[in-house]
Amino acid sequence: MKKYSFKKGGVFPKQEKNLTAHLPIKKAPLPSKVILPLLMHAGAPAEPLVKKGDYVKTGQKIADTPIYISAPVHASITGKIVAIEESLHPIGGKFISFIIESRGQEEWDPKIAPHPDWENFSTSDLLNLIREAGIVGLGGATFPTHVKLAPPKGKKAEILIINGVECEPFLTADYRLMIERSEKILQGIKIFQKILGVKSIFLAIEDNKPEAIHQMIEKSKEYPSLQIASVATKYPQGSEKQLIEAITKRQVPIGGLPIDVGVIVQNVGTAAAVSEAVMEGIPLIRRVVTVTGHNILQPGNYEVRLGTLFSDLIDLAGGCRGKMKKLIMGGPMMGFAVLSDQVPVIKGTSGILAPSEKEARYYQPQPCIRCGKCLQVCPMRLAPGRFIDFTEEKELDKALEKNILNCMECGACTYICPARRPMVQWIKLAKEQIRKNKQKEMKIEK
Amino acid sequence: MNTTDIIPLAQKDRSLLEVSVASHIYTPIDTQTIMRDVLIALILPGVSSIFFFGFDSFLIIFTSCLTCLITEWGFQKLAHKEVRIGDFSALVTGVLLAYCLPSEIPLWTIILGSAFSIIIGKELFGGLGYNLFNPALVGRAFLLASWPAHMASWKQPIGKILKSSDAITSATPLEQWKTSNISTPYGYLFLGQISGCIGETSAISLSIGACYLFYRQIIDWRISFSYLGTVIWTLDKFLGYPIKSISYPYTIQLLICNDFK
Repeated sequence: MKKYSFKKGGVFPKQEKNLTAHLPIKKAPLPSKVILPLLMHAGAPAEPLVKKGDYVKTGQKIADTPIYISAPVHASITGKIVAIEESLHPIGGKFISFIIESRGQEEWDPKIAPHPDWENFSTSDLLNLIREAGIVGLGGATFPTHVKLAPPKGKKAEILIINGVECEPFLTADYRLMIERSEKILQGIKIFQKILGVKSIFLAIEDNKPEAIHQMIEKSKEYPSLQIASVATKYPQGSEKQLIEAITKRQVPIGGLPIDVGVIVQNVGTAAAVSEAVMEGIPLIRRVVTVTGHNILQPGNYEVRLGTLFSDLIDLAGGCRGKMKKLIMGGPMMGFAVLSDQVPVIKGTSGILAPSEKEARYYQPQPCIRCGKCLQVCPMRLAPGRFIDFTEEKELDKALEKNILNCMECGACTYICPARRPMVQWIKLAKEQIRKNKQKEMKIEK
Repeated sequence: MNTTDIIPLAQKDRSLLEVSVASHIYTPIDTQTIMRDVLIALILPGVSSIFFFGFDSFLIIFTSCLTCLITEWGFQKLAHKEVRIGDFSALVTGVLLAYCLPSEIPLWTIILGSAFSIIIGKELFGGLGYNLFNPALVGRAFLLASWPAHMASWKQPIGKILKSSDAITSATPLEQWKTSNISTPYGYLFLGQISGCIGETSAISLSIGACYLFYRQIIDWRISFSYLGTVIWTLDKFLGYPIKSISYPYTIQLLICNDFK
């Protein structure tokens, strides 16, 4: 079998997937309380359609917006909206959220309607179904799927890549999906194909998941336009641009989007969610989350309702072995450290990682010894070490010149740095300052 | 942000967690490991230097390392900087400086040279990572300029693997060739049974050390080999030492010759 891989850079962190890879997806019991932020996706926040005190049913749309790059929010349990207030958001700070308390009995929204006859639908109808179901990219970037599936005028998608790489260590949610729900994924891919009209489709899976590759090859035998691509186990193989380079040898231009080279990438989880939304009519109210880490007593893969608190899931996984010092939403390379375990699962929560106290220790940054390892591993061919110097010296124009905005914050440089310098932190700071300066300039021009 | 900004966000009974920007895992190789690996690579040349030049070598290495450590510790204390002798970088400087000194050198010059290496070569530029030049070579340049006679006081190797030949005198191989046109055979050059600085005579033990660093990916073999390639190419094309030359010194001999390095 041909092995695909991106060329430049990359790191090989310890996989640690054996903690949960063999464990089937378990349905978590319905939570008694959920917190649903109005912003669980990339784009504009949704606006509430219900009031405090209202009763909502599972799957009912409770927030929406006419803005294009956004997604609606659906009630993930049946119950009463006890508050619409600011609450801790896993990505940081606070955000307006619905707080719903369960009424015990689950009742589904009567508007939910399956569409097994979707093949007769028009593209715009299908896109609308996907939008109404609140589906966003479930790989972690949470970009609204209906936007991604509608290329701008004049651009056409030639190749669709389904991302089952899951290159983050520890996470196994996508892996379990491919093993247990391969039909749903294939169904979703067929819907994508109908919308985009593409001829060649690749499903990329890292070669450390031979069972998933085998399973998908078996299931896709009657689907000739789908090709299973085994990609080398190297981080960040699952990053959009790297995956496109690995499979198509095309390079997305600086500041460009995959569609500029005729490619669209969708996650396997998104494919399964789209299939559920279209075939069964169920909006995005649940997802598979890997609860793992060396501090968790019984790690596992759970299907949970959105809005479930991290603490509930950790209790479900047997609780913590030792003191909880750090909790990460997502994988260890790109995940967000959350401020408290009282934050909810949102659409982009692919995993909850509780590192042991030793793993979570703080490293004092040391001086740079100019070893050049960050340059070697950067998959975007950037110079992360220089960006730190530029940011420290407030020479943001030089950083811009060296394409700092092209950094996708994969964390390979931070991982490899022998002096433990927090590269991504500095780069994020520089980007934030560049953004603010731009805003200021625009205000002055006005 | 000061701490009072954070506290109101705290939930009732639960303490706040630590946050940091990704990534949250690191490679096990840190600065200390790199320096340790360099020291490991330098063990064999050290052993061979003690074999060929006796207990003097050990004294040179010991003095140089000790001075480097004390100087770095003292400077960082005086400058109110964080003391970083635990990262072994001063030790690496000490060993490297010792290896490029002749065995006859008086110990007091070593103390001065090591202190110069650390203070002028390293700490005044801002310490680890900010030095313009290799501190050990700064120290060597200082010693060479200040006490040239001591720095050229070569001694014949004491330890013997190959039997002594006329070729082994107290002059270094290139000096011998220059002054009396005597060539040194490959074997002596490779093993290091020649006179010269204590740590740089033995090409074989240095190569083994280099291989260890290649294996550990501390240095990139492409850098070392392109350097050597450049030397061969320049000799061949511009300096009149063609690769296929039939007269001494041959290019390969030059490459493994200690005073050429």
